Amino acid sequence: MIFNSIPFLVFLAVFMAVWPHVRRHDRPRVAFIALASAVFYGWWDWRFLLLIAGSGAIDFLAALQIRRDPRRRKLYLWTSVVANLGSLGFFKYLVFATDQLRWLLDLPATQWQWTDSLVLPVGISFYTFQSMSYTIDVYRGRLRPTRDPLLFFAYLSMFPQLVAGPIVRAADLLPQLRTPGGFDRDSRMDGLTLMTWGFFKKMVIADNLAPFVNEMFAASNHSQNALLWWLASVSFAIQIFADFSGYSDIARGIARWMGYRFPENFQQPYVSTSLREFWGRWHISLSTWFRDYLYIPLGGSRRSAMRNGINLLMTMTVSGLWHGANWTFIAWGGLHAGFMILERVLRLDRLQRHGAGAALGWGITMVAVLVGWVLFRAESIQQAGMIIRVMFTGNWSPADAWRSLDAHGSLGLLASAVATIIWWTGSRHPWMAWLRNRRPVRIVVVGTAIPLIVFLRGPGDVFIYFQF
Amino acid sequence: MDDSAISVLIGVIICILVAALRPDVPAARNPEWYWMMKLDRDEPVAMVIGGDSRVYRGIDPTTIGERLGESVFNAGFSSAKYRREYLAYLRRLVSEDPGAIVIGLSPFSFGSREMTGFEQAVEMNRRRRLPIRMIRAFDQIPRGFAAIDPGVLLGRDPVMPSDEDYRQVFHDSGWVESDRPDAHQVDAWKTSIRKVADDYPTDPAQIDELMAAVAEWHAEGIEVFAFTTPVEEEILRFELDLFDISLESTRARFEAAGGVWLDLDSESDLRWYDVSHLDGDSAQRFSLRLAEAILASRLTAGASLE
Repeated sequence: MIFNSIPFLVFLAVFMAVWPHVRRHDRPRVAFIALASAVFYGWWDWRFLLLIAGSGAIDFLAALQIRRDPRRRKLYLWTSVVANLGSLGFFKYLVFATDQLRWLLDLPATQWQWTDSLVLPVGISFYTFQSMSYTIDVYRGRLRPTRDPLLFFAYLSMFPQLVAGPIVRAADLLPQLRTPGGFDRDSRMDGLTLMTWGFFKKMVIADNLAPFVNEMFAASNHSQNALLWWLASVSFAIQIFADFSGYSDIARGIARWMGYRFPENFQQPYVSTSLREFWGRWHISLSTWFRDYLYIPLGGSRRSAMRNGINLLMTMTVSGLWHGANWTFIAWGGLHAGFMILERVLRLDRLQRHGAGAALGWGITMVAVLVGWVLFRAESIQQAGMIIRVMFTGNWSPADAWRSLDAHGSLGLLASAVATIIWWTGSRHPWMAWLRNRRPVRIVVVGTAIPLIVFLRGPGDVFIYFQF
Repeated sequence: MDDSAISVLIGVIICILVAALRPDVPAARNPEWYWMMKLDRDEPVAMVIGGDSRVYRGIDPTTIGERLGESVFNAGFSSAKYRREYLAYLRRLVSEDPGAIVIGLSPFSFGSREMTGFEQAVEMNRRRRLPIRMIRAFDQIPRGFAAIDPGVLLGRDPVMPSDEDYRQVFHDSGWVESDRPDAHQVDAWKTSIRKVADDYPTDPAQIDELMAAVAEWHAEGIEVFAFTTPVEEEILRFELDLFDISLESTRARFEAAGGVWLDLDSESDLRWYDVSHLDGDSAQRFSLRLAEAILASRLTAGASLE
């Protein structure tokens, strides 16, 4: 079930009613989290439960065996990695791979047609990575494996972060789940505040921008207006940030309410003055996963400049591929890698520390990010190429641009502007922070945000990252 | 009570107050429920208007009712055909004495399609799990919580939503006020209606069934009127030819059965948003003409009796 739905609100209300009574007792607490998560995940399709249980069982046993049988630890590690990547590859990439093979070998369209009926299990990209990180950390000696299968499944399937992250490391979450957590008045209010903010970003900002963005990126749109395409790219940039960070905030808010803490997944990525900084602020749980489990094992930045560039390119390309089985995602990852290599080669980090240099760095970074988002959102490389060409060579008629922006899009942009102003003011003026922490102010602000979300919500779209 | 509970309570109270006090949002109806409730209507009316989508989108019964001073209901359904079950439904709706039934006729009104919007509504009604009274009660609740259209905040029409695709307002009167941007494609319409004519040609038995019903209603003292649903002249001639329908002979049979044929003006002040269906303003203008024609006919009939 998706967060912004009536079934989920009912589910959450029941969960919140029961949680205070089960959290103090270890077995009931863990069993309740696992059961609730099974209901949450099985709501989409009960068959998904078999998959997560199966791949989770392999990792649970592999981790135990790594500890018990050190001579064969590499075998057990590879069993876990192959099982996880195998299931991910089968469900997510088989259709793409067969399409490429068909094209390469000029095979008929009916070849391997059965692959068209494959259903992509929701959240598979997230939980396989979360599960793999557990086995790898056990292998590296950074974590002792748990002997409690229920605890492991509660960690793996914990519903707030199951289908779209953040990817929480076992070292962070398992110790927390072993305790009742810090469930008190502050955790409940902090959690509700985070959830409300997340729903506002998703339902008022992202969902109102979605119709305009979808219309712009429809295959039939061949507008030659550069301003309009920059507006579309900015709108998508805001939409994907609000959508994804909104989901993360809801997930973190639920965990916080329960008395647990998930790591932050976004830290104002659009203030970045370099792409390297951008990746330290965007989807942090995924970028650190790739850093720790792919980039560093490849050698990271400790090798030659050429080797470092190759490592970066490989990591970002795989990161792009993680997002989806399409050449556009691979190109998006490659574009980011290219810019980061350029930053490193030209030593732009020295320039970007100073006032004017930082502003220039920000401008260049934002252009790169916005062009990248066109690749990310476009249906095909061809469409992306057309759009990017128009962005730099098209006409700049403002009338056409504003005529195309519908009422929902206007509301989405207005809401994001207001939210940005409030955030910017809060970060620069101590009195705002003081005001924000006053109990009555918090109660009233959160309370009035709820009807704003209900009545200003957009036409609605599935969370963008659900498709990954 | 802790802070988070107080916040939620404040939020819920404000939501309920806004939902209860805001004006009705006809655009936010559940379409499935709408058609089921239309079928299961038990309130008597003085006049019912039957027909297909050109009727349910193109006739505003409130305009007619205000002009005639009586209760009017739009009983149109998508692609409705004048078969026994639909005719019985129209008769059932007219409960006042003497009552009137108004038939909207399109060139494809006698096509052989079996499953129309009416039959679909009958099927949905048969399979529904909730009693219709509960559906009627629940129908009100979600509308109060419908999202406020941002177009309204920007000063646009508060009734018609600014959805970028189909704009539909489901009125209690049975009229579905409609509009759609950039949908007026004559060639596309002709292609699609050609396919309908090939798949569902005219069934002469339906014409017989309608005329028999008209004669029966007339014998009961019910006023029966008919009009050609409004469409551009070029399109009407095209469709009549496709479905092999003669307006003159249909009219003659209708009048012989006791019905009154109304000649209405489909002039240039009407706008069809998609070649076939009137937008909201045009529907109201045409409905007023229909009311005037009925009034004129009654006056003529009254004068001739004297």
